[in-house]
Amino acid sequence: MLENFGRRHVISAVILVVVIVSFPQINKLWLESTEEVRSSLITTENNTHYGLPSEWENKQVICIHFPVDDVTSNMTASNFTEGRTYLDVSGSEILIDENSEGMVNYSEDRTTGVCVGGFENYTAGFNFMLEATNVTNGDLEVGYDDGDWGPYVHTIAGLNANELTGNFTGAYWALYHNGAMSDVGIGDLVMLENSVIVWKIATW
Amino acid sequence: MVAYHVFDLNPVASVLLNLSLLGVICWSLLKIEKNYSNGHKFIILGLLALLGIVGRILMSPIPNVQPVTVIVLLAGIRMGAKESIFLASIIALFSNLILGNGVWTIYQAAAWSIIGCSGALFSNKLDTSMKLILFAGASGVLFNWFVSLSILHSVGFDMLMPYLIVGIPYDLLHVVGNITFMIWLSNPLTEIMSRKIENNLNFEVSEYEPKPF
Repeated sequence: MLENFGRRHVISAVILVVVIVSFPQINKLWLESTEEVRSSLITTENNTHYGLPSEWENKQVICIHFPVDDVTSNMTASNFTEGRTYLDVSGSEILIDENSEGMVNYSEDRTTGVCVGGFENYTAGFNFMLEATNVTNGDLEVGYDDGDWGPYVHTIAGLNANELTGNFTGAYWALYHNGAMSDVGIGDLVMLENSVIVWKIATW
Repeated sequence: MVAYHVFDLNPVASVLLNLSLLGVICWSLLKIEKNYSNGHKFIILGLLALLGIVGRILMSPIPNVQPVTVIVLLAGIRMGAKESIFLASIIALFSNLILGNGVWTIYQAAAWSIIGCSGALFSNKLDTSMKLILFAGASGVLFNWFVSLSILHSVGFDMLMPYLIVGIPYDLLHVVGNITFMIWLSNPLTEIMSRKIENNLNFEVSEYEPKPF
């Protein structure tokens, strides 16, 4: 049966064992070196969806940025502390961008965060925000007060801007719409079909 | 209640254990075949199916290193397309009863069938061992990419390319595994597959005349 057993048998078995043993390293190297090619994130600058998954192009997205500076080290959004997490309309994870530093939307600060996107046909900003954050089963719960000028958001994902302390007078959740600071509150914001709304902590 | 069987084998130990089990099974099956098989196609097909199923299950701790691709490829070359389709489907179905059944089963069966059929198609051209080895290596990539299409049931088309790129080290494993299995299995399996019926296995009912009372 093995009458033709020869050099080839030995060499092939040795190579196979070497490949199997070094496979974890090969795989790790490969994943690191192909990260940019594999990324399905939108990389055209000036696109309202820059840095977001390409399947969200022209759809509605909400992002929440959690600062990781020592300024706000008492933040509590502990579920989303690694890079940026992208969730689809059902709350399922699409991917986690662990090196989100180069991909941070509308912010020069290093942040971690979460984006929920792929929505369509929302018109009222506040309704969109509540429904989109609701897909995470409470991880992104929104706390707000009803004020004279509509809802005032003070807490997202357990991070209450009013309770932040640090080298500043006060902090608040700031609203951005398609790359610019929104000139209306979330209660008056009219959604476009390609709206990306971003919440991040601002200080004064 | 104490579960005596629950203890952690480290991965290397479990692979070695499985490999020795596989070795014993292969050795004994091939011995049995040599002693008892008269070259009837059904017996040989059953034996090859068993080898593929057992081989795939026992090698499963190492992703993509399994003898099935080489078995169906050789079956296509030495026996024919229909035989390889039978083996591909039976092996995919029965090994996935243990490894996990799903929509990918049909893709695996189809991919192995395609490999077997292309082996049958090019059987005249695959006349040197080097060509066999190269063909076995290429089948690994073909198989992986074909089965990867099954992710399109759950994600969009634009996720396919990143998925294939992530899988390339796994393709490499399949290629190296196939080449090794081809070198090791080509001769013994070819010997079994090309055995002609040597002595008649008598399936016919022998006629006898009942004695009158």
